[in-house]
Amino acid sequence: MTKILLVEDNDLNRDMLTRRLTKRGYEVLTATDGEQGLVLAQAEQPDLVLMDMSLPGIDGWETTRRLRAGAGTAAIPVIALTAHAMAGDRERALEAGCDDYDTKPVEMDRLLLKIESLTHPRP
Amino acid sequence: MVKTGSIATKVALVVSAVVVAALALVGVFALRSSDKELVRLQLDQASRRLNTNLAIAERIFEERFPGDWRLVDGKPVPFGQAAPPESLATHLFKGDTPILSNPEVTALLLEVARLTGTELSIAQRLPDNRVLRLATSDTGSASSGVLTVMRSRDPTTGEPVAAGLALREGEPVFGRSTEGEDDWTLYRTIHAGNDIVGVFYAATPYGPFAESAAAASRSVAEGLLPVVLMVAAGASLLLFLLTRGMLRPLRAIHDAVGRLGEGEWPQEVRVRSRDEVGELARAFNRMAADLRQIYATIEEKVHLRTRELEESNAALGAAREAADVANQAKSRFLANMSHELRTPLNAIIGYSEMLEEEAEDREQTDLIPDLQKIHGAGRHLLQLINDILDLSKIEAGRMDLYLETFDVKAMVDEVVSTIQPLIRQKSNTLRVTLGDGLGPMHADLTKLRQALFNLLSNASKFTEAGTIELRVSREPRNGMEWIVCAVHDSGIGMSAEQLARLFQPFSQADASTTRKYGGTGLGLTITKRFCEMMGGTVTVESVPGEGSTFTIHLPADVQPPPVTAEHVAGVAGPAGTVLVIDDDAAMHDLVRRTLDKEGINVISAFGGDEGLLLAREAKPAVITLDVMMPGNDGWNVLRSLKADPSLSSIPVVMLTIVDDKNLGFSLGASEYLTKPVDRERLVRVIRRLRADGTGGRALIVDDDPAARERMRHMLEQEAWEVFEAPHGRAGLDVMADRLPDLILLDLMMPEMDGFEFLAALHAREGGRSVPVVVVTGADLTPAEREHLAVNVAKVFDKRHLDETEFLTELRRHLGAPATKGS
Repeated sequence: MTKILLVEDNDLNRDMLTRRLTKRGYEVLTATDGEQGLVLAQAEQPDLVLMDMSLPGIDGWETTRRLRAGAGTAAIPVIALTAHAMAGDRERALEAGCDDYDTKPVEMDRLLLKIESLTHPRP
Repeated sequence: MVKTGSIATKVALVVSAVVVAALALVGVFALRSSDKELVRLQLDQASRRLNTNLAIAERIFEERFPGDWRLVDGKPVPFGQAAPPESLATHLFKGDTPILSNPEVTALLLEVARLTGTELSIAQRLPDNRVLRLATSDTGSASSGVLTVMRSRDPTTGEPVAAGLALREGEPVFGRSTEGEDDWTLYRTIHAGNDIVGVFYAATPYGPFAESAAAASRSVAEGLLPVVLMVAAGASLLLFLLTRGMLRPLRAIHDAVGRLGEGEWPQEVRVRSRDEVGELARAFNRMAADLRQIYATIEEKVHLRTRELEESNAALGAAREAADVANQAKSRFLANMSHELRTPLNAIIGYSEMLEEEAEDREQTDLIPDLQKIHGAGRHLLQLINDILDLSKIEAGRMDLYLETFDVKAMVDEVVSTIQPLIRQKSNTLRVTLGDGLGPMHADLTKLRQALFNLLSNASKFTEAGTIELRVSREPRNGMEWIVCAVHDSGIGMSAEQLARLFQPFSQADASTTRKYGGTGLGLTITKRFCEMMGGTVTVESVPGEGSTFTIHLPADVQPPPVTAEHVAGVAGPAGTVLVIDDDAAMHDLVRRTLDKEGINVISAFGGDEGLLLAREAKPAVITLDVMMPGNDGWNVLRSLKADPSLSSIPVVMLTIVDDKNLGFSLGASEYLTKPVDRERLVRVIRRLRADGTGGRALIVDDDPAARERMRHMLEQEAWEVFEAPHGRAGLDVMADRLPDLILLDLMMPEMDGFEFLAALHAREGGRSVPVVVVTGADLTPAEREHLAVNVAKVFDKRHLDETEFLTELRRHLGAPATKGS
């Protein structure tokens, strides 16, 4: 089963995404801030991280940079989720080391495609 | 400074020389005239003697013939030798005694004359002022006898005059009888009532006086020379002292004038003399007092005006700061609000989607339409928030370009697939026509996608069961490759008025549109701004009822805003270059794009040290300086700039998030702008500082000379160069060669009025870019008002012109022709 780590501080969004992903057959771990996310990523070795970028404490970009820098987590694909559908967020996310980028509110189908392409890359 | 002492000496020398010469002449002259002088002395003695004798004679005459003197009409008696002989009609009487031909009178006169040794006569005054002798003691001489007209000479000129004119009580008359020799005569007038009717006179021959004087005068003259010299020396000394005394008050006045010139208010000059110098001193004192009064009044007025100005400046500054603070607060609020709104919206949209899925799974399909409505409304709300945030970012100049190379066809496909649901909703058909060889494009993908999406969704919104056409092609133009996307719909179309308002924020073609078609009214504005940021345009053609065509033109290879282009080379730009010192690349980008549009060259430095280096190399006209920079921070850079004589004159605009204006200004900054930058203000500030504080060229078109004068005064105080014209046609003549930077326009004028002038101005190339401020006393119709609202920058009512507001408006255009519509 594909294991996804969802780092999201907002309870509603976290609950909603967790339920929708679980319903589609993913195992979802959740973290409410960047530090917890880093610990879980290291401990649980998820197949993919969904990272909210505006987090309290260390933000999503910084958390991503630290994931990339950690020996055990550098290879885990990260999809950035931002509320700001603004030009530039995507580039910033990619610069920080994210593999892909999506905006909130998520369009489920599009997000699933992205998750699939990163967790089950076609040869 | 005049040496008054030397003047006194000079004056004394000159005067003494003159006096010596004069006295020498006088001495010579005196030798001759001393005769006359002696005669006069003797005559004085003679006069006293005559006077005494006359008094005695009168008293005796009075005792002998009592009664008043009177004139009595009688038998005419001829006198005079001229033919026909004149005659005496009235006769002088004393009491009842006639004087003429009265032996008693003659006898008395002879008796008294013998007693006193003086010749005595009585004469009657004729109406023509001649004097006719009636009785006399003089019987022996040739001129003896009565009825002789006496002659007299003017005592000062010696000229003969009618004796009656010379009659003055007690004064000697130097005269003679008609035929006789000169006599020395003393007389007393005889009165009848108030009239002088005759004289009682005593005379002595003049000749002996002249002879006796001649001999004596010579001996006097011989002793005169030493006296002359002494008098000259004395006079010189006296004059020296006098002159010095006279010059002292002059010097006091002179010094007082000097002090007055230096702005002191001296005590009054103390000169007591009553001469001209004293008069001058008093006049000076009056003038000084007047001046002091006037000066005090002016000073008071200046003081008052200065304080008023300071107060209004402070108020303006406070208002500006408040506006800045408000603007920052607005930006922060928008950013926060958009985030705060989006979080719950995410939940609404997400949960409604989830519920839809649940409902499908559980086959509760009756719930689905309502859930879709919630979902749709949420999406719409999200779009609104995104649009507002986008627009506020654009307005604040914080919208950046992210350029990448992408395939045009892929981009179009993606947009089309996204828009399809919307198109289908309104039963429209989308027809896509792609030109040949579209190839790749270098641009901001997200923004182009959004622009295209906006146009397509707009087209669909206003079209029902129609056709929407998207044509995309690659076209060469002006030596560049362009990507052209045209969106044509068969919808309701728009009128010309609607088209004019189309790209204004929050204005859909009309208010009812929003209710009927939804939308934020921001889509087109954002689309237009996005395209402009990429160096492109959006144009529209429309026919009401037939549909509209929106066309985007974008360069196939969008040039990045040249952020770091020249800073490495560091070459001096053209005159008027602006140096931007800031560690934030986005800031360089923003300033550069803002100033590029104004034709102002910008060079960039990304740190303090580099900034100082570039400033020395390039000698920019203006420097903008950030404060928070790693290493050498803005304050240090500002200090270094102001400490370097070759750089200290370059105006520095602080452009920073740090709000410490006091420190900035105390270190020598010319302006202080806080981030986020108000771009219009930045442009104005830069333009003003580049232009070295001088205003632009302003043209006043007004038929009222007083109004022109008033406005000229205000403009010149703001350093504008002012031109005047009494009516529109003259105004056009004045600006025949070169357009002014600002026009102050009256409306009601002879020859050519303000409206005609405006039309003529706008017909000229570049004429529309000249800001026009209307200052009118006319009552405007709503139509005129509307016409002016779109054609001029501002309308002021001449009758109650708020000077502060007026000046603020002028300053708004100071050195910066307004860019309208922004």
